[in-house]
Amino acid sequence: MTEPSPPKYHRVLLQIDAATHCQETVGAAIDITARLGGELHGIFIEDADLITVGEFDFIREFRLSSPTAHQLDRLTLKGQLRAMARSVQRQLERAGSRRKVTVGFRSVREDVWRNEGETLVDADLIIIESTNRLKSRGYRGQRSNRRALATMRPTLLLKGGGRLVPYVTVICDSVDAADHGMRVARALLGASLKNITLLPYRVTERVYGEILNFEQEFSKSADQATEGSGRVHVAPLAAESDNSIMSMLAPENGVVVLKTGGALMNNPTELESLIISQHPLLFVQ
Amino acid sequence: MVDTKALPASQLCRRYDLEALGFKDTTELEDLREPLGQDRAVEAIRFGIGVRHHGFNLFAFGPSGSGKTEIIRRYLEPEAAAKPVPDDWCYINNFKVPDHPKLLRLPAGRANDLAQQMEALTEEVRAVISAAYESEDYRTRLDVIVEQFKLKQEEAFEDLQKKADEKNVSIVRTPMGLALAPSQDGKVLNPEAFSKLSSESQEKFKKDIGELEGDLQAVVRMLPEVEREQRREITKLNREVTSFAVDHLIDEIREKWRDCTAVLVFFDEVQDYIINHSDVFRLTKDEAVETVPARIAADFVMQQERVIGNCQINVLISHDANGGAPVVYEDNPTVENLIGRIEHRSEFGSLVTDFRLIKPGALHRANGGYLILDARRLVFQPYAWETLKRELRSQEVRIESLTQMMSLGSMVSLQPETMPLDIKVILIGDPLLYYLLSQNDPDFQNLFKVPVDFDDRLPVTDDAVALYAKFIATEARKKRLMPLERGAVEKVMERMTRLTSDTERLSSHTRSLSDLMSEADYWAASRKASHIAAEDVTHAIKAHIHRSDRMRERTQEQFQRGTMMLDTSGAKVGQINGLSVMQLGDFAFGRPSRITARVHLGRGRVIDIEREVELGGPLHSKGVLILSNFLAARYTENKPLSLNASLVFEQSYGGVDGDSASSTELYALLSALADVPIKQSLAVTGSVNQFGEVQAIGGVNEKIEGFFDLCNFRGLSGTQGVLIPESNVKHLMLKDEVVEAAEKGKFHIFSVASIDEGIEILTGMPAGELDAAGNYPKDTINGRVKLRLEAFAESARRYVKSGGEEKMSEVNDD
Repeated sequence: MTEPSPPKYHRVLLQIDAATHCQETVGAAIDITARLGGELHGIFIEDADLITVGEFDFIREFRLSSPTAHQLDRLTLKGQLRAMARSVQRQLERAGSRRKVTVGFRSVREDVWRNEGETLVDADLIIIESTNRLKSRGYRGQRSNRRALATMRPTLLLKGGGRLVPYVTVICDSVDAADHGMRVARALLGASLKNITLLPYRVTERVYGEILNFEQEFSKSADQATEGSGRVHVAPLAAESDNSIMSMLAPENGVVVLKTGGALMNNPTELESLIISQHPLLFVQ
Repeated sequence: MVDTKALPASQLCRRYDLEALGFKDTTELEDLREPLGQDRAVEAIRFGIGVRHHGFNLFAFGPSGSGKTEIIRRYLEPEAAAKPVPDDWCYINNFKVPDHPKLLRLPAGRANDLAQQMEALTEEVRAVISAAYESEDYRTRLDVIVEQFKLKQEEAFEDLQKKADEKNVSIVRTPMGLALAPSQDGKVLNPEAFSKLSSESQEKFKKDIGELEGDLQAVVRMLPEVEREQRREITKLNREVTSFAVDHLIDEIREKWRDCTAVLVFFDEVQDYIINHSDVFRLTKDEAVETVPARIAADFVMQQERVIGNCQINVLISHDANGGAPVVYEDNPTVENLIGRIEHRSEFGSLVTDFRLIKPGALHRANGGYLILDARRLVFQPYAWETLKRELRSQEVRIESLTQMMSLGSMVSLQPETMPLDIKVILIGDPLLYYLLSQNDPDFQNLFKVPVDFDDRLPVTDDAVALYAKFIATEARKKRLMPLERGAVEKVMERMTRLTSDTERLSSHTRSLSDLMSEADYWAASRKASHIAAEDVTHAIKAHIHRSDRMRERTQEQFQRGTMMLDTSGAKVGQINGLSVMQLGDFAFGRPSRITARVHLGRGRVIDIEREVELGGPLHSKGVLILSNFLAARYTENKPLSLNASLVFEQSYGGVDGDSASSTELYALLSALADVPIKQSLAVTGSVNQFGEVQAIGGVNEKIEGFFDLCNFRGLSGTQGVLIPESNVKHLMLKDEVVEAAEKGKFHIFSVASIDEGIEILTGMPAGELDAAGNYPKDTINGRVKLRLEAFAESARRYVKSGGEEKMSEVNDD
């Protein structure tokens, strides 16, 4: 079996809003872009809700650095958002120049962004940070998350600005999903074979057998190519009534690769638990 | 009339004959083991080195170039080698008060071992801590802590969220914090929608939000405390992980230093310090450069280096365990070179320092041994002498810069712990400096109790001559010169005797000897000889003089061309040839001068014109004042001295000092009074006392040679010569040309003991002796002088009687 050439990812889109502003996210995006030899475009999304909140005269802000309440107004909020956008831009440019990655940046209002389709379509990879945790910086990130899943581009959902660990779990409900997931994981994340686990999800025994065969042939061809990076691990087949998908993932913060349109994506409960977990998620089409 | 026979040639110069020593050249002579003629100094050195009590430091003084340093080293080095090796000293970081670095004393020869071990340890520590932080175990434990505290925070927020949801209020994350907003179906209401609500609903929202704000405020207040607790937990984890990684490394080297308690204490401090600062090792240098912005990476790397550096040691002094006590010669004794210094390095435009930049001084290096310093250089260096005394008094070395001592400047600096001082200091200088210090500095006698007085001459005895030959042979070998033939050795000894200006002494001035031999070696080599012969030494002496005697030639030229007036033949009343010496650096030469005297009636004053115009020095004035007393006492005992006499050095435009011309001036005065001419073919030198005795003077050889050179140029007539004091005969070491001329009777040296002897030679007239009646014979010098003075006295008496007293007083008062 000959391994098909890996997909090309050149244009990386980093989606940041007022809550996802953090150095680690920028660092991870720059790392991935540098590995791909591509260019990074940062988009800072100004939260429309925040602007709305500024229009109420009875709403006050409690800053994390001081417990005193501050009156909120539209002008102050706009000023804060612009300052954040500039800060993100500076971080991107500095990190880009250090790693010699071409960097672009723009700031856009959420309502405008919602109607802007071409930018997402043009991207080869979209990176978004979100943990869905209230106190986390990524709290507001969920605003654009679900929409990103609907795009037809690979999307990496980072969680809380943490570093990316080298372990990858590919959730697959077919050989095609396994194959596609592995190739993208290796190309985008630089994962070595021994760190990749194939996790068959709600597959029949026949499909499981096919996935096993696929893995054996894949590993054999990798050996021939003297890649020497070990073998892909295939998780055992679990009964449908067994534990949830979350209980089968290890380690706790390993990257999970999902193919859109598969069985898992049609299971909102499992998908939600994945989204609010600590696992960075990579959605591939 | 006294016998006026000139001195025989044999008395004009001392010749050495070393045939009895039985050697052909210096290769046959043994080395001289002991310094020549320095018994007193050697005894003092032995005593000074041996006595260990406080304050018995040495001050060696003697003429420059007399080999003081070499002789001291010769005795010092074997003594030092036999002494125990002093301990090694290091500076280490004071972990409690970093600007007061601590001293660490180690057995001799072990400081460098410790330094290497600490360097290796810190490198290893850097690697193991970095690896420990990289380990999955550590990361998991860290994540657990982080997640635990995150959950704590989230729980608090979730409760709030739940309450807010119940009241249709959303928690909105602003760029700087949180806010509460009215919502409907999970979406924040915009102002338009809100205004469409009934006023009751609006008020309810406002009331609910107001209540929830209290809860939100409580949660936000709780956050810093939770974060602090989280930091404490992380610190605890870091200490645990670091301690596990580092302890065994330190325990390993601790075993090697079981015998040094101070080192074990240091290890304990280092261990604590590393554990407390383990954060700086979380990233390697390369990782820092790659992962954080350049400025932060630079700060991080600098911090890492600082922590690493603080665990190392600064070896101040390390000795060879088998080497003995140190003997240090500090050539440039500045304050910093003596007590060490604290250097600074630039960090982001600021000058900073730490214990590693403490540099040792000569006192540190010589501690436990001996320090040799040049006294003159020491006292010329600002504050160096005071600093050395302070350190010796307190018996400890305190490293302090001049700016610190004088409270100048405000640069960040250190106050290192002082080092106990056990040292013997040997100062080497000249006698003047020794006497000045001992007289004017009250500390000096307390701190430098052992004077080492070097002599630069030794008496000529048979033993001394034999030893001196060995001394020459030793110096020649030491300087890698050709061997000297016996004749050359004799010539060298003649020259060294001439340098002392004393036929009964030999100069032990090492530098003069070695310079002369080196020059002779050059001339011998230039004629491709294998040995230095007598002619080479003679050539060297002549060439040396020639190089220095431009001024002498210029002076001679002035006489030859008649610019300077000086007669070398004939006879004149009141005019005589005096002799003076000019010293130019290390070269001296004689210069004849015409001295004249005029007498007339007056009130008994001898006017020294040189003094009147302030060209005469005090010694010269003293000599002239003696003359008037001599005249009064000898010739006019019962009458007032009624003359005015004036004395002058003709064509002298510079200062004159010394009393060596006082006899000459007296001869001129006697000639003028007696009206008897003085032979101009003769020149005179010598001082005189109130009894008319002629006394010894200095530079007799140069003076004779100066007059000889002039006569020689004009042609020796056989009548020319010089009168010298009898007590100077033993100082005669005249050059060969003078001796040869004397041998041939063309030039004469007369020695005189009294003025009477001298005046007879100069005038050819008897001086005349006092008879029982108190008179001198008429046709003698003394008789004529007495008569003239009596005539003056009588004239004065008549003049006063005629009412001229007032006039006379006026004249004399002017």
